[in-house]
Amino acid sequence: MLDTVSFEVEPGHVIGLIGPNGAGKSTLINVLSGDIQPSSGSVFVDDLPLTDFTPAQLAKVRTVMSQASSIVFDFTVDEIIRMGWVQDDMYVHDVAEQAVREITSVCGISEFLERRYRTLSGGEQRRVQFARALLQVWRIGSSRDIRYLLLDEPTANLDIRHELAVLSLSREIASKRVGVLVVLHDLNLAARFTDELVLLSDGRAIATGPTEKVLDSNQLERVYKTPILVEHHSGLNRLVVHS
Amino acid sequence: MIRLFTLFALFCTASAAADVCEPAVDSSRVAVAGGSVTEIVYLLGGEDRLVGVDLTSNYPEAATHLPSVGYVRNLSVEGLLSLNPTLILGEDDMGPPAVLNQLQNAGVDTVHIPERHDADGILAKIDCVARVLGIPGGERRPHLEKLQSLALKLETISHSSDAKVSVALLLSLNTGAPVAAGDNTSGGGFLRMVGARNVFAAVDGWKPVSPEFMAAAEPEVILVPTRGAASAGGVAELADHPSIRATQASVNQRIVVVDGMAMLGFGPRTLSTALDFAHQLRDQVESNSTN
Amino acid sequence: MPTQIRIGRFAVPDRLSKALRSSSSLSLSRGRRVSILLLATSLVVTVVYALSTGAVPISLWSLFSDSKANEFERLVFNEIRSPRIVLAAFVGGSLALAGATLQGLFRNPLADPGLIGVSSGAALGAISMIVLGSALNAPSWLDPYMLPLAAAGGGILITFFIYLFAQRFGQFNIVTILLLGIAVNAMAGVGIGIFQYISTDPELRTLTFWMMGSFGRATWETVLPAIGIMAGASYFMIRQHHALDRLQLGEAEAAHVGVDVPSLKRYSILMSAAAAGAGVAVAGTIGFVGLVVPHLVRLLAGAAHAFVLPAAVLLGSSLMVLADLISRTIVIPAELPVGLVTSAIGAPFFLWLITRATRR
Repeated sequence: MLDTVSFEVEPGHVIGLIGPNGAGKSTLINVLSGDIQPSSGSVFVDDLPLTDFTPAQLAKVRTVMSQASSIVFDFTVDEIIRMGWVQDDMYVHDVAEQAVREITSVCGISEFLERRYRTLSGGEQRRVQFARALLQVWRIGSSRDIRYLLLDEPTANLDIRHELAVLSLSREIASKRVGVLVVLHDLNLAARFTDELVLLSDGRAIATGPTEKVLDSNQLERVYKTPILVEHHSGLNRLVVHS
Repeated sequence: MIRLFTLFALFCTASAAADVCEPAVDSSRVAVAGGSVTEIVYLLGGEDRLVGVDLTSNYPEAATHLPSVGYVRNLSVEGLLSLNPTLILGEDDMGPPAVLNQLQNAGVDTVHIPERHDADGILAKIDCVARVLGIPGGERRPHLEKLQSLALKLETISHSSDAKVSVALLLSLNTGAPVAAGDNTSGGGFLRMVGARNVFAAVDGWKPVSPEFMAAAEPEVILVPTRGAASAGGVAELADHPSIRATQASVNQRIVVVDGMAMLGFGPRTLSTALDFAHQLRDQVESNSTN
Repeated sequence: MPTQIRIGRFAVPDRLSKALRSSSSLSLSRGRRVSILLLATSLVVTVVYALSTGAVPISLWSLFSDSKANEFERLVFNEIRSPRIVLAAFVGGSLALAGATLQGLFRNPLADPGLIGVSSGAALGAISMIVLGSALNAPSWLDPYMLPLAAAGGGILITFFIYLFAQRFGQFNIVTILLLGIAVNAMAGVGIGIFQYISTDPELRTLTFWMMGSFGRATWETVLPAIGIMAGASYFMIRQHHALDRLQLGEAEAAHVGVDVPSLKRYSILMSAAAAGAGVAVAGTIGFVGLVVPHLVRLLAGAAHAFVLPAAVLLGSSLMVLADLISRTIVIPAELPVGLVTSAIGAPFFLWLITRATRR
């Protein structure tokens, strides 16, 4: 599925993963999160092979938000979010409570904390999953831990307001020693919120580098097989992608 | 005459050898598990001592008014103890063993009456129950003698002709393949007792038999307990059952329905039931020879 | 050219290499604490009521206050009624707990101990002992243990078989286990059918009653080893509540939040097989408790396993003691098979659950 892909995710950076359907974006996320073993090559986390980590150790350094998560039983939103708390060995009740309060308020889900997850709309469920992921990467202010956040289409099913909110929060979390890798479909969002991009096509990284470099009209047209125009909008002061 | 002699001889040896039949220490309150044993207790006039009987005890009718202790193989310890019995008399298959152990631990005498599926077995069974209950010889002898004479008549009639009638004894017909009495069953014993040829003697135990096997076995007479016939919807329905339709017995309308407990319980009624049936079979033999 | 992906450039902090100790503390909300308290109270009330009720009238008060109480009453209470109530409580609790664990593990509200082959394996073990046991010539002190041992052996064997098979396929996949469970249950059914065919009439009836389940055979000598196994397995199952909760996010997602999913599966299947197997071995197959009790508990106060698991134990115990009470008092002095009572209560309730779920 994936052929030649080689890149680095660094703390403090937001790296976007773009490419047409079936390019291997989700597969790449699965490989990076340890769900799938690559048949050759390897994934390193902080210079150690991914396979050297126990699930519990890995949970503390990397957080994954998958595409969809269906829950069979009647868990409340609050319970789902708290499943993201992985710092059991240094569990301090007040710290965890404070983290949950902070995160639910910035994600705007405080008002339905007691609702059952299954009764939420698709978009609301995404926001809860995002909050769960944020709780997993959350550390107290003085912490110097390096973490990575892998987001697989976090904006699917979200309205414009929440799309922007989720990506702004991702940017913000990146500034707290977190490396963010995010799969995006919307090239305009990619242009606006990422530092670097990896353009995937047929399992190959066609281009890797700063966002402005990768978002090249000709390159995108070749990969997406549709006319695409990228221009700099002076009013917004960023790249805008027309298709 | 030789037969009668052996019967008496049997009684003498039985009393010497089988220690299960020793008189119980206290037989004032008796719970019974097993229809034939209940019948025997009534026959011997010991019904005053009965405090409870099991679900298979439905004869005589008075027995059904006694407290029920459940199914003979699935007795309840506390239920039995609540009747405060001094003695529990049961057939061979009384159980489960764990419950019997608990009853013994609670100090209640439990006696398994040995069972054999022939005329001698019936007499030995009655004799055994009588002795466990401590019924004096003078009181039990008339009953035994009456049954002995029945056994003798049965012996005579079942050996009166070398031509044996082929009989199939079927238990239930409502669940597809009928369940037939093979060898080593009470039904097989009954057929041997009446001098019939069990067409399924080669089968061991109660087994479902296929329609083809049934047709190939060519039973001249089919014997069915009342309940089995009722569950099939009556004799007419039964004769038309797919696995019976092809048999001689169905064609000649030789399907005999007999009370199941009276036939297979191997209690006091079994001998007279067997005698009646043996008479019917003899008529069958005679009609066969006249044809 | 081999693929190489690097995330970051920094060394892992030392303390991360320390194994994570999973928290087994049961921190519950107030509503859940109240529910647990209510369930525990109802268990105590049920047990005391069951102890004081039965075919033989016994006054608990006179039993404990009067040292010269009737010897017979004391015997019935100590040796007959108490062991069966203790056994009923433990079997009910562990069946419900095994059901809740397996429903969580399979993320399927229809899972129960029967699904992983425990019940049919135990039935196969039991019938082979009923039919062939007389040929074994075992020493007589082993007699009370023969049937339970055979049943437990059968249950464990079948579960282990499913387990090995699932691992053979490389992926210890939940769907694979479900399908294997169906296949193995069918094969055990064939074995049971063959034994039924060659069994004699009395053997067949013994099996029939064993399959319907009963606590009437309970004696301390068989009850004590069984409850030892059930208590141990239950303890280990309840400890998994944290991981089971996270598994509800999905298998991959549970791994993302630090759950060792393969070990959770192994552990949960073997522990629920041990708990249910020990129960089935001494009491026969008793349906619907493992299936229905977890649902009732979730209706009461939500789905978090820190609550569901202990609550299922308490409710399963009370309901089983109650079902046994009904089974032994409804037709005094006889008794109904307890499996009949649980199915009679459980089956309509299950129907109601289904209609309720489809209406939503």
